[in-house]
Amino acid sequence: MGSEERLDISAHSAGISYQDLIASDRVQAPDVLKMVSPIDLPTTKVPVSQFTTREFHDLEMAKLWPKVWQMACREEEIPREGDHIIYEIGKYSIIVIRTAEGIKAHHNSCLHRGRRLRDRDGRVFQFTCPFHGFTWNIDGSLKHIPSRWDFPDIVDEEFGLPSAKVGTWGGWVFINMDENAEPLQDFLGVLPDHFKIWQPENCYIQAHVAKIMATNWKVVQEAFMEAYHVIMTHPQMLPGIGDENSQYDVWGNISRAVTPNGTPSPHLSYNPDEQAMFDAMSDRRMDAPPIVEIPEGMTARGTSAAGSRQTANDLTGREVSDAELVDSIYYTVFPNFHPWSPFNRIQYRFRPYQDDHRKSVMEVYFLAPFKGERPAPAKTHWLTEQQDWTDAEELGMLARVFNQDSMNLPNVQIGLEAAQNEEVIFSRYQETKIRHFHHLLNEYISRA
Amino acid sequence: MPSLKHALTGGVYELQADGLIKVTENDLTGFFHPDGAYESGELTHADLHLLGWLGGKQTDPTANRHAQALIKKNK
Amino acid sequence: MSLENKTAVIIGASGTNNFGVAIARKLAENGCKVVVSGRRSEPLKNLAAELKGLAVTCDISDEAQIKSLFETAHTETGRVDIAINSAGGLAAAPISMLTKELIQPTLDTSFTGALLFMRYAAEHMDKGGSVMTISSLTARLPGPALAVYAAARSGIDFAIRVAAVEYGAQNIRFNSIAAGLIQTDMTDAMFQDDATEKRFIPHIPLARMGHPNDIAETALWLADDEKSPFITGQLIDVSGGQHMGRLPH
Repeated sequence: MGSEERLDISAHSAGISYQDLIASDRVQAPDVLKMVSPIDLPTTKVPVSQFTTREFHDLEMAKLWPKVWQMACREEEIPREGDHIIYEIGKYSIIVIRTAEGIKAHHNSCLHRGRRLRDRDGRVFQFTCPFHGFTWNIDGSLKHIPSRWDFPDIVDEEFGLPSAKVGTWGGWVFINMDENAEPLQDFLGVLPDHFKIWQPENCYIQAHVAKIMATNWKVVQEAFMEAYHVIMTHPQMLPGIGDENSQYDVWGNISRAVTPNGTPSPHLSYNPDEQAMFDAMSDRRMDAPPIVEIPEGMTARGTSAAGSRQTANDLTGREVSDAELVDSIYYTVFPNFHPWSPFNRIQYRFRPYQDDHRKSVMEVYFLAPFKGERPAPAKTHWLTEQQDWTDAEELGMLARVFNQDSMNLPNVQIGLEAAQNEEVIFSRYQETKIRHFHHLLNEYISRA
Repeated sequence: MPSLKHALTGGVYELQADGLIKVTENDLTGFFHPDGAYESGELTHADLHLLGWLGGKQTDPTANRHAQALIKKNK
Repeated sequence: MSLENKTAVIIGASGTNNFGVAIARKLAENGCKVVVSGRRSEPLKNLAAELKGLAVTCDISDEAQIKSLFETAHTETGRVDIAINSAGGLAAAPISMLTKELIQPTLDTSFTGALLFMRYAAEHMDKGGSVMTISSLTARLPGPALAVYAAARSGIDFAIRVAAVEYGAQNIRFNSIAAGLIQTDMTDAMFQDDATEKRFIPHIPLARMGHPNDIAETALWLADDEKSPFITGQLIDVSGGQHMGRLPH
């Protein structure tokens, strides 16, 4: 990333900058939120065909997914030796399993005649193919072939399961199918440093909801990588959210957006008072009483933070800042993993669904801090295509927000496929994360 | 009745007992479905996302982190 | 006009309303032939067309490109009289978060690049000239998270003085314009940001934020050998007085 220019942010929102906003907070933001790293990149236009064609999907299957670090699961989902999940990405299927020597990842395909070795997550101490009984140890080495005499050309030492690299960070397990890939720590760059105070390794999966979406994976993913869409898609939030004056930053393979709450949208033609801001943040209807009357001299920001501070302090053992409690802090790890800071709990992952360029899987995890014994991780709650997000009660109000996004999403795919223009255009600053994503995607796709 | 005011247009959205939403904007009134579809009235277009927010499937009204914090605190 | 037939090279002009653009417009209005430079070619071409000047893309962190920028300016226009470095954008990081990888890009652009800009500018000013760098209030008053950004500029501010000494005999003047709080957004926003105003105006004796024109007029004055011929090695604060700091109310 040596050739990019620092973004000249002279063209910016008229609203208060995030740095100025948090400078006035009563409990100061941590240093990580005082980082500012705007970036300008060549990519502002991307061919529509990248979202709508089989050809580009196939390019991704050949040049991206087999070559990049990607989040497969969390360590807490495979705590004991033999515990495994099946990580699927497009046509690829990988068993991610805990062994005595750590977590390993093997391609889920019998080397005899190709049957998938494991059909579902679970716990096993060897992989026995349900077709003819070829068996491997969970470290991937060959264990047993029925009628061994009938395979004189097989050399045991060379018949281990093809494996993928495994790396872990923050309780997350990543895999990379490229054995020449740089170490995960190098790929993640600044991310571990940024998340030091938030310790995702000491959080647990409080909820995990998955839904198949009728769009290319990049279409749905990009809907969650900017706050620019709040003005139209989430109008109920506007009095209490700094959508247009969010901050966007890039460091290597990592990008971040910070969208403040407790500050009004610069799009408004009036100045909401603190009560009006808090009412919008707490989803108060016109006919309903306020959740709380903001006292004279207090701010919406301060009130929201004060309400959740005690619990947060107890869980973390430190004084948690206003910004961490009130604002949306959303990172992206290229290509498809989006860890938010822990007081939002949200973590997103987006993947192509099987080998279909017009379908994708959207997943929302809630990762929450805990005290005492680690709670069991929530199992994946799959919503059907007919269900909407409110059928996942564990998501709370977020489900209705997703329903608003979901009113757009299939229409984005349809619109792209009907488009006569050949390119989509991304804004210079507010769509930084998306531009950064496409910049990196192009690098992978362009490699020989 | 459940109602919301649109922060950009000033339009008032009111959820009726029959599930339609009455929208009043610039002295015009119309009735709409939660998915944005127009039903009747002089006002023929309204914000589909705000219609959905008010008239679509609801969740526990206090299940957002700003409200949660205060409710817990006030208990 | 005293700047007529003179050539000014301005790097950091591929934005829409930043200092580099404002300076280029001001110099062109006063008769200068402008060579506008930066990383993004489309805005440069638009600006060059508007000002009847020349557009040359240049990444200031690449020495060969800086060299080539001044060679092209000299070849195409016959001379180089004025050079203004307005490149380099804001990045912030508290010292507690610094790594070598984070520091290096700012050094490459705002320190190494800035020094090399001085060298290649002077190399082509065979008839004397005026070189300016755009510095910052942040290099005068310490602010958190600005160690790298401000120290690079502060370092260059001193290098400007060294350059003034080294090139004085050749009548090439070196000066720095330290920009204070300048309002640069172009939009006629319906929502005015009262909070920022309240925070900063009390610290500014002239009780307003600056405009790009304030910077441009200063650059114009420093560019003009008839207006500022005895000014060199100077750091001019265009900050409404904020650079002084003051005793609390």
